[in-house]
Amino acid sequence: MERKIKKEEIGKFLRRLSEKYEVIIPTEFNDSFEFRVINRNKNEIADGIEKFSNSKIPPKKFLIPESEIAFEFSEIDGNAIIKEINIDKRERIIFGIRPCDVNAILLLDIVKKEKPKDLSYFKRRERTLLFSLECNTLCKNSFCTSLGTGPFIESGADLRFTDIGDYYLVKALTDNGEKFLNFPEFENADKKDKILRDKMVKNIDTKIIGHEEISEKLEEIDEEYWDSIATRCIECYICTLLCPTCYCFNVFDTLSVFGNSGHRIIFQDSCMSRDFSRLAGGENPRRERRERLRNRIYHKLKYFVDRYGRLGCTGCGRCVSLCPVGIDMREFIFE
Amino acid sequence: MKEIEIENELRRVVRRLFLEKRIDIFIGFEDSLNGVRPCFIKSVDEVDRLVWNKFCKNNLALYLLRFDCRVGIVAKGCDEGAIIELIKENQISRENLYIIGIPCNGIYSEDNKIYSVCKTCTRRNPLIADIIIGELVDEKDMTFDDLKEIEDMPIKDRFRFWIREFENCILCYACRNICPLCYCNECYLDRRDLIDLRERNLSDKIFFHLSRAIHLAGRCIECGECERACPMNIKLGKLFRKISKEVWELFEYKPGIGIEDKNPLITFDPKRDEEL
Ligand code: SF4
Ligand code: SF4
Ligand code: SF4
Ligand code: SF4
Repeated sequence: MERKIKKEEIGKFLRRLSEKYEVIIPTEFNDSFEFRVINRNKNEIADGIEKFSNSKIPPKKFLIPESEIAFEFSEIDGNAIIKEINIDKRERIIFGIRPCDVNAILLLDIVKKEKPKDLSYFKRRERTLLFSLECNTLCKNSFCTSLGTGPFIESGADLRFTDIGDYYLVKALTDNGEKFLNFPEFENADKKDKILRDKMVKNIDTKIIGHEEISEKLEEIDEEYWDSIATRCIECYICTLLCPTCYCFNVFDTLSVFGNSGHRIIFQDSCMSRDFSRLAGGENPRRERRERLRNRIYHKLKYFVDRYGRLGCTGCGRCVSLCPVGIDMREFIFE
Repeated sequence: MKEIEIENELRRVVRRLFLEKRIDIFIGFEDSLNGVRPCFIKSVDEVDRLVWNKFCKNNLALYLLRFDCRVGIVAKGCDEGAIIELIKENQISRENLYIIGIPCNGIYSEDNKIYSVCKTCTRRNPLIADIIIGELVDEKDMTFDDLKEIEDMPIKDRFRFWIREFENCILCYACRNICPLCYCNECYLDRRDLIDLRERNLSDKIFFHLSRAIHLAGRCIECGECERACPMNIKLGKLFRKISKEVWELFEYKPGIGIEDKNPLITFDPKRDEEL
């Protein structure tokens, strides 16, 4: 089903949703936008969304938190007691998520489904609806048009919003999305509206590069090139923590002072960290910065393709824009 | 001299350094799809990659620790300040280094705004360079007025202000890793057996920043790299200027100026320190 909604009505629509759901929208913050849970007491909901290109922190943070307690444990009279942590059951809607980030979540779904299945991820994922907003203009440094992950979207989200001037054209891409189109804020869309979107789609130049082609080309890069890039890299965690498809994690336990209770923490880790691949006894298969950087790029552009038949990069451009020393994913793909 | 003239002159000097075999590598800036970035020139054929303009933001002194050969480097005031500190702390030796100093009128972000630390910089001209390209510029008087806004807040608000800043930190460690003076091979912020920040809660974040602030007191040369590198726009520049101000008011000491200057926080002078 495809309908439309006046832009002025969006705030009302979101507020109505927030009666039942936890609604997450891009919110202006520090000269840019971040995804935040709607503050219902505020009047201006989703104002300024016209200026929104994409957030720095990808919306994956609502599925993979920075850190979380997996379970609590204790010992009482010689018995180990494990207490599971309940994850908030409320259903969630992420409104305004960009096509690249929807595609990133689809990738995470594949990875997290592998055995052992990540239960806490799916507890969140299964109660999360994605209302994606297509992009009229491409964000700086993005290359989704070459990877087929944007700026438009045909599946993966529940609702698809397209800015067609005074209105958003809205299409339900799943049955779950369909029911929202009966909300009173929506009107029927006609042929003209659909033509407006078709025109937009035609106007943006997409030229998709084959995924195999990209991973094959990677093999041609010589050692010297890796060296020169790695010399520049400062091995921070920006490009991994802020990548919508990175999912590395680690676990550790903390104990109370008496040592008879504690909790296990899962936290986002980064393969760029020196400690990440260090083994017990101190051996480290990726001791050098060059090896870690190459692993990151290979994981995105080759290992993903080998294993799942698709790239691990959505071309969102975050790592390109935010790397303090100009290390650029596009060079590995296009040059 | 215009920027482009400086750039040409820079290339000419570097070419000569290579031809005369005085350096093995040169650290400078190059253009890329996404603006200017650091680069490492290995031979005379690569010299034309070098650029010079007001967007050359990185503090290149950081990279000196990555080479064990004769290095040439182009340095703005703050890069040179960091070099001086690294020499003082025995991390690099002056002999193996050829410094091309360029007087600086401030550097600009991509959207053409001057970086905030440049507005208060009092160290714009080269002091120890082997050669200077471009005319010297006027130095500004030292001021800490830019801190007033935060200092004047009632303590509660000030506390809240910093909490709000640190709350947004994602502990990506970019500010630490890009800092030319945060060079410790074994940083205790990494030592998971000593201090564990992996839970990434607010107190971890505050701890991280206060540790860095204390460790850089009397050493930070106010280059602002930490603030520029920060993906979350956290006001680290203000934090570190505040530290510099405290050091200045207590000891009238500013790092990054004289190679012989002694850092008051790691030296003891009975006369000076009596009252402390
Ligand atoms: S963001 Fe840039 S500097 Fe930081 S680890 Fe990634 S590539 Fe290296
Ligand atoms: S690797 Fe970079 S461009 Fe690709 S999805 Fe991750 S952050 Fe985006
Ligand atoms: S703390 Fe920041 S301003 Fe100070 S020297 Fe380090 S990077 Fe430069
Ligand atoms: S660069 Fe910014 S986000 Fe990263 S650790 Fe430093 S303050 Fe936190």
